[in-house]
Amino acid sequence: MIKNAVGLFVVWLVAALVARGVFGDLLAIGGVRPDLLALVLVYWSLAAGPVGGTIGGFLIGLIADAELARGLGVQAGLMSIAGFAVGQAGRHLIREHLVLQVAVLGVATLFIGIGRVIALVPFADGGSPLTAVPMLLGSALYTALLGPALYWLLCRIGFPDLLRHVHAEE
Amino acid sequence: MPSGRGGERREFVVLVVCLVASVLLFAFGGRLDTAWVIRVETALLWPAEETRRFFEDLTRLRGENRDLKEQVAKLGQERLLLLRAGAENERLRRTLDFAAPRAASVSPARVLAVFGEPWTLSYRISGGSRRGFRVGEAVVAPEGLIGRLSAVGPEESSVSLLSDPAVAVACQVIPGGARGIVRFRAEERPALYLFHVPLTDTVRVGDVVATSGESTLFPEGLPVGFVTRLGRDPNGLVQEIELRPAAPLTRLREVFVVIDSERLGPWQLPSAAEHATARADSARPDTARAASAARAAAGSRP
Repeated sequence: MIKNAVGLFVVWLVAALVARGVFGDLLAIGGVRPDLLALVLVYWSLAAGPVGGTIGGFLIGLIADAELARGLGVQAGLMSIAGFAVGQAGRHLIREHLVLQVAVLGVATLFIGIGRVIALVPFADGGSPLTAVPMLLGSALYTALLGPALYWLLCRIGFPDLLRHVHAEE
Repeated sequence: MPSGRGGERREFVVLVVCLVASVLLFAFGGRLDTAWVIRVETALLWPAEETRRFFEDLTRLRGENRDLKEQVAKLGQERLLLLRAGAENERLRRTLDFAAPRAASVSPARVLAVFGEPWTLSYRISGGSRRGFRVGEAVVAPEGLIGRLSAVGPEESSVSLLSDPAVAVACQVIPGGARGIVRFRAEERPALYLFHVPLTDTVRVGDVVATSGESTLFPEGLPVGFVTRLGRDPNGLVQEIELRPAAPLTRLREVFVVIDSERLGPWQLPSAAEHATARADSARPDTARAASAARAAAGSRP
């Protein structure tokens, strides 16, 4: 069961990495891109719960840190917290509810984005982290809308409900 | 699914472990080589990246192909225009060479319209009585006689061509000197013929046929055509001499009305080389089409 869940996590992660690396430019709207790693983390955490979410967040964060080649551990920590929180929230919410997904995704993406900006972006010469807020809000909104839309689409075309699937295995 | 305090504790332990690991990585992970993660990711993305590039190239090539096709079409049109301009230039140069020394005796006119089916019978040309044109005057091209004015208006005139069966021209064969009447015969084998030449007169294929001094309408010595075939008239008394017009009647754009035949002067008759050129010219598709159309029309007559 765990093996299956891990396999599913790897598939989601690889899909997100491929989509981000190959179709990143196509997905951008007005320069705003969705945070696909945050999207995978949120759905994974909703499906797997706090423990799976924390570990998944840690691993995704490590990949993001390795890509950035500095501040190793920052995004791992941020995403661990986000994964834990979303896993906890998923226990008390109707996870299949699209509006709730929008809310959870938006908050989680914003949290990760703000943390990333504060911890990793150097604001020298009088610069302020506030300048990044519009971009973060745009990205969070985009991700929050894209995730439920994809979830709805996959369900509509007969794809097994991923949230229920992993949850049942747990 | 974990439940109860034990489960919750386990969840917090996992979180704390991950956070501690994160802090440790932040503090001491600077020395770790993380480039391999990028390499693995690049290897993972390679097939998808290549596929994307393939489709991008395909799209770009399609656009390029479309642009090139448009360019080829445009260049083809330009080439056609240039060819046309070149041909027009050549034609006008020849016309100028012909008209300049005869400026006092001929008046240039543009062919406005061509009439006649299945072969060309008449032209509508620019110029009329206001320029001194009169009915019956000879109309020529640099290659030779093409017909005469059959109607003259103030600004425009009509020319009955040699291919009109109503036009008859008194001619002679050069150098043999045999005399006869040139007229278009529409029956059986439609073509220009030189009629009334006795069997005893010597005529050879390739001889030039020009207007004779007996003509009251045309000045003497205008080339009319070339002998292309010799035969005997069905009644057996005279020769049947088929001619090809000296001037390309179907392709002329400019013609000249002979307004003063006295001052026209002697016409230089075409040489053997010019005859050969003219013969090759006559094999061009439009002439061949006109001839086959004429034959078809003649064949359909009762």
